[in-house]
Amino acid sequence: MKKKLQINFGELGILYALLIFWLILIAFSPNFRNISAFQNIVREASFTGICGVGMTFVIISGDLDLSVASQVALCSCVLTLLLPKMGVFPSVILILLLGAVLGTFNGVLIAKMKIPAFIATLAMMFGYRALAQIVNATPVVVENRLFKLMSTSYLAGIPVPFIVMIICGVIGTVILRKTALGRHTLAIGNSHEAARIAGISIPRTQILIYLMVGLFTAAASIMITSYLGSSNYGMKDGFEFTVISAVVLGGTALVGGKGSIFTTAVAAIFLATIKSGMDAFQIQSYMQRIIEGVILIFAFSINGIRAYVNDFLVKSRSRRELDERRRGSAAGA
Amino acid sequence: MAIIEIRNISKSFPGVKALSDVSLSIEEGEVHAIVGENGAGKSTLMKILGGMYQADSGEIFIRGEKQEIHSIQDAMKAGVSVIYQELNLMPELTVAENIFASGLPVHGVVLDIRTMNARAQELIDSMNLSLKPTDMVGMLSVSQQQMVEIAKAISHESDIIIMDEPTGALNNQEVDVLYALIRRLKESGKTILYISHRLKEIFDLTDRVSILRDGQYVATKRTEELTHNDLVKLMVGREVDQYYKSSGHALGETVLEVKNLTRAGMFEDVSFSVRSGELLGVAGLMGCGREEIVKAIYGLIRPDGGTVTLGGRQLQMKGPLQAIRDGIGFVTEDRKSAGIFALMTVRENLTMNILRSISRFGLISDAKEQELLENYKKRMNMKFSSPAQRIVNLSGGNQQKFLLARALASDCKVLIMLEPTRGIDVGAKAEIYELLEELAKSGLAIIVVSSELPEIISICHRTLVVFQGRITGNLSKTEMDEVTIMECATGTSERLDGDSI
Repeated sequence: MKKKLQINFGELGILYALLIFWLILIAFSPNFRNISAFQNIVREASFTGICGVGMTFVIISGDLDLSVASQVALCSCVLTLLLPKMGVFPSVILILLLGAVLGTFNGVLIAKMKIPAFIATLAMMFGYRALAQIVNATPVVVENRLFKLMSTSYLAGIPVPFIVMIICGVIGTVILRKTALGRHTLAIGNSHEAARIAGISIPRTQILIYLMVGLFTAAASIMITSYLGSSNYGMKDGFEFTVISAVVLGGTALVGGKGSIFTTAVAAIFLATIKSGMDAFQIQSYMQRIIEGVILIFAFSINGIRAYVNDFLVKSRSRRELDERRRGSAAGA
Repeated sequence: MAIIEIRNISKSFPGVKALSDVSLSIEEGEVHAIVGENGAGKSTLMKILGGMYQADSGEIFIRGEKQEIHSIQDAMKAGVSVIYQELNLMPELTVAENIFASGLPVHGVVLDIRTMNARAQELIDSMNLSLKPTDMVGMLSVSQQQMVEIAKAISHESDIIIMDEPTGALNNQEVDVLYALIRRLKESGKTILYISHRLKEIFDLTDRVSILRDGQYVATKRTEELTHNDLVKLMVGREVDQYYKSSGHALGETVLEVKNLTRAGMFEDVSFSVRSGELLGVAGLMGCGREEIVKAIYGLIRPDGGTVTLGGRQLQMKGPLQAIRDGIGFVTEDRKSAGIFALMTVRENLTMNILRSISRFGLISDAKEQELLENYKKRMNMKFSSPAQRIVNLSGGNQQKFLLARALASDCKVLIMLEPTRGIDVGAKAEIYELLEELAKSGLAIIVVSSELPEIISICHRTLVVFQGRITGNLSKTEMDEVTIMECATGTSERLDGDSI
């Protein structure tokens, strides 16, 4: 029984946190007593969630990708150029391809040129952002109505971006759990040496992982562009940290080796809920940033906190046992 | 009077008793060797003296005073410096900076480079070395780095210097330089504790020798009163009957043939073959190159020359993936960090090598994976609570069974297993031995690399012995005993006439 609880706390803790948070918001704010509030939350969350699918793979493999926000901006800028010329469907396909190319480029830097992921993606964070500025120095507005509908319409009351996130999440989960690529990702995150002995090609796996990140990031960019209705080279600054916090809050260890896409998605909704809650209570934007920072710190230290809590539980249990033994022996005497 | 008096020292690690009730005393100004097989407890004892480990019980007296050594600093204060097997130098700093790293001379907060270099020069001159204080340590040869380590130890003005396998990485010429230095240190009144596998060095250098075996103190003798054979017998001398005994079976054709395999600095001109159904042992002392040889066959180390032929086909040796496809299975000695995928489930751990063959359209088949797991569970008597249990929560023996099963699942013809029973309990040990024998009977060729001689003697049909990267022994079942193997492993004799039965 106790063991079961531990597992649940570790792996589904974020889900409970989300539900409790929702109940609190509904109880204290009339703004949250209608469906549209939640529709907005999950739409906002889906942008983080879609990108988070790829990021979960990277973090499971033991790396980080800091360039996703810039990838979003670059894809968005190119997309707004393409849309008027070739229409929705071809543009979307080309942007997904562009994402794959950007991701693969990161992967090659890391896997073949052996640049640490942190440095390589930090460099590309600036590189892709600069490219975005070259493509579109000024904001471009999307005129295409069909394209805008992609993010603003609903299917049975569910916002389309959220459905896209669920589809991406299911695809990601299948890849992670049911394909050699997923198993190899987990294996690399556990031990490079053991992976090498098991005949796994680490560079090949890494390149494929970053290719996937590029694809999912491009998908997120398409949804974001559609919802904002414009592109701008400075857009989504800091988005990479939102995505990384979602993955880490979802319980994926920063050192790699284990993780889940489902909990990443839940954590994305959790973060969007906090944002929306702060808006509802009219917390000022600088304060919001501080709170986001605190959550990020909490997310990054969650493993440390968990270890501390476990340590504390073990110690107090042994202290209790010692007390009981003492009391027992005193009673015996 | 004894300068060091060690009384009743015991030390346990999870699952192993590394030292039990060891007492010995070291005289001032002598060169005292500590010898023993792999795992006899030599290094543990030295690490306790050096403050790296804490003894569970027992006392250490230096010059008659009881010492509480809880850290490296405590050891230094007590006058003990240890030069560990692995060098602890900073390659980007100069010789002088490395020597004085723990007590840099300063003017206020500024490093006093001139004083530092002058003091280093003095020290270097007194040791008769050809080094400059301003040389970058990273640019020096290994032996020169070793000398810097020794200079560092002397700079602490320690009276007692412990050297743990100092010649491990040195060539003959460099060993001579070290010998000369040790003799000079002895003349200047220092006490030296010298740990080495190489018996020749012990006879060349030391005044007395203490022998440890399986964590217990055996004896201390004057070196000149001993012969090589005496020493080897003192190091091994163990009842063999208590171990598993294999029953013989007929062997098949030659499966694997290794010819002139060479890798500079690791092993040289290694040739041997293994037959179907044969259990071939590979023995040798730590650092002799035995692991490197089998790792080269599996493609983890690229050889400079030589060939490996499996079933008449010469292998390309491109890496582990190629080796697995060619039919070589491999179980590592470093189960925890290079074997298991700790945070993954037992099922995922089992099938890691063969995902492609149990997949359809790129998706891993649940049913096939489960079936494999059930098969191996039954065959190997594995114990786990569910297929989704994390492998890290299993016992060492069960983890080892999973690694073995993973290698077998890819249908190998040759199985290479390093330290098959390291860190697993007695019951699981016997099970692993039975499994290996069963597998051999079914025609698999098995190479077992092990530090435990009784293990090799009891389960292997034949054994190779490696000394300094060369094969110095090829012993058939009848010739195999601990003394003969140790003689080959220490370079005392060569016996290459053994045949497969």
